[in-house]
Amino acid sequence: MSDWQEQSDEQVFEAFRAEETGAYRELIERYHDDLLRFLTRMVGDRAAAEDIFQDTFLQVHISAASFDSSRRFRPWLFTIAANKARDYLRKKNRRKTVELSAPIKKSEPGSSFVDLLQVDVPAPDAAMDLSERDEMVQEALDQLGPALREVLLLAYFQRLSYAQIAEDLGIPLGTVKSRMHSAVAAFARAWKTVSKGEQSL
Amino acid sequence: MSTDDQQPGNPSLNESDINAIDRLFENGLGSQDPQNQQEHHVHQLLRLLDTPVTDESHKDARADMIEILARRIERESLQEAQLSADDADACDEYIDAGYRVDAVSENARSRAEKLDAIGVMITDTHRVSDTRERLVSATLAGIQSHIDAEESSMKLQPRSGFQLPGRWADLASIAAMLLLAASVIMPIMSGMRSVNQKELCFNNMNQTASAFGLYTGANRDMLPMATAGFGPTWMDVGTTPERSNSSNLYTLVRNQFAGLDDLACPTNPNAARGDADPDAWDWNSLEEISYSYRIMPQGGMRATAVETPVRVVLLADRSPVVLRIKANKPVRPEENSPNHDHTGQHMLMLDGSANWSDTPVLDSRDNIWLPRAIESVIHEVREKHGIITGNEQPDGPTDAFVGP
Repeated sequence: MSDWQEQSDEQVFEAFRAEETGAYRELIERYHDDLLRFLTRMVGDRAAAEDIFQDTFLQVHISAASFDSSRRFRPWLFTIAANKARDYLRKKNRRKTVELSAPIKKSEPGSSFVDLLQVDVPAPDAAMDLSERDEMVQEALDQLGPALREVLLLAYFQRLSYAQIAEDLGIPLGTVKSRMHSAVAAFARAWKTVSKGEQSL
Repeated sequence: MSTDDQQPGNPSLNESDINAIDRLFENGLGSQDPQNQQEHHVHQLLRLLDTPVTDESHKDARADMIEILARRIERESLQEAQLSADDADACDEYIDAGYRVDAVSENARSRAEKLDAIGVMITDTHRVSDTRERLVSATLAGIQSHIDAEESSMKLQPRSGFQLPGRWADLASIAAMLLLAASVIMPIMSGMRSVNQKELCFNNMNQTASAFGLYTGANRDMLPMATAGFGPTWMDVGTTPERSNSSNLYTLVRNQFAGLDDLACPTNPNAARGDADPDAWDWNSLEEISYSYRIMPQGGMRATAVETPVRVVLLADRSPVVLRIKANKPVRPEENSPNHDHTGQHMLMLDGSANWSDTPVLDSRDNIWLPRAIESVIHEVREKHGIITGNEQPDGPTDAFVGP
């Protein structure tokens, strides 16, 4: 059996295509944590995320022959995963419910802008109950529309540049930038609400 | 009005607001004053649109109206959240710098730190490693099932537009080409399938090694055993659990150290899988068993009982000898396990290592299917007496015996 530790994702994938024992398991093991976290954040349901995780690797297996070996494996994997997650959300028909009785106020100039310096985001090493933080983050993410949530998660989980996101999602660079700005603002606004324990809209 | 009328993916109104709209439309806007605050609010909104809906012919318009209102409200909510100009610039700089706070300019540093902290919150969810083994195994098993399903449904179809030739000779040559293609494709598919099945089985060995480790750790180094002793035969699977050696192995399942799936070889179509019966002490039949467990001596055995655990086989792909005996067929001592088409067997050693062997005879000349006493008899027959010497006679007219 090969020493997989030394090999890149692309090399392991080639080994899988060459039917080397253990290669596919190695790939699944490598991406278990990151991909499962990504999918859990995308769909907001751990059990569904696990199902989509399996579907994603099944799709990778089915599409193995068509993968362009000059490309990087990770973005291809996450693109498949995001597509599967999107399909799940569409089938689940998750629609945001809006209330007519909620106040509809005219936007004042400047009132719609989020200032990140005014948002209380815990530092990475802050002492905090991780379970509680997880739930709050998910609650905030659930308030974003699917398109904003997807661009936010793809960016943060894969550390992609704007150009790479544009290529993966097939949208113009300018749209990626504005969508990313909107996603960050929407998340920050939602986080502010959730972390203060207020009822969300 | 039902929310089912609306397109999937679009925002919807809640039930009470929809009912309020329905009541207003049914009574005719303007013909009756709103009965409560909710109806009043809806009434005010609709009056802004100045849309008279007073009769039955406008029923579809009600659905359209609700759709439009809901979308406008959602758009208002989304438009409210925008990054300040400084934050937008910091976001661009942070991403262009490869998500590194230390690589952004001093002016953008504090905002980049916020962006970074948001990223940590979003990506750093915990509690995923606890499912690793289960999910990886389930993923591989799902792929195997897909391959199995593909194989069973694979047919060679002619491409669309294929025209049957008029001559039998042409048909024969085409059939030959198809058979040749099949002879190439089938081994490839079969090869992929057997590689995946071996991988899954090997994974089972590793999973069960963990289960043994946990069990012995919790039971003072004692290997799993259902009872302190057993009756006449350890081969009586499922009939009397206190007798069979398989019930000893089943202790891992009964005490939830392992699942049935961990002890189900993918090549065994009769293997028991899924949720175990909480009252069960053994598999139901020999056919359900995929792996043969070290025969436990009376009183049990400690995992630390031997000085060289690497040489002691704890578990292996199921024994062909037992299957033949139960089927009243002649035994072949050096036959490989029927799992994996008799090409070999996985073995889990007492030290937790697992390996594949294409023979049941270890380097020490120990045959894992047989106890030493019987192996000694076989060795004696072979080594001291040879198979035949040339002096033997047939045992009567019905004894088929040819040579040289």
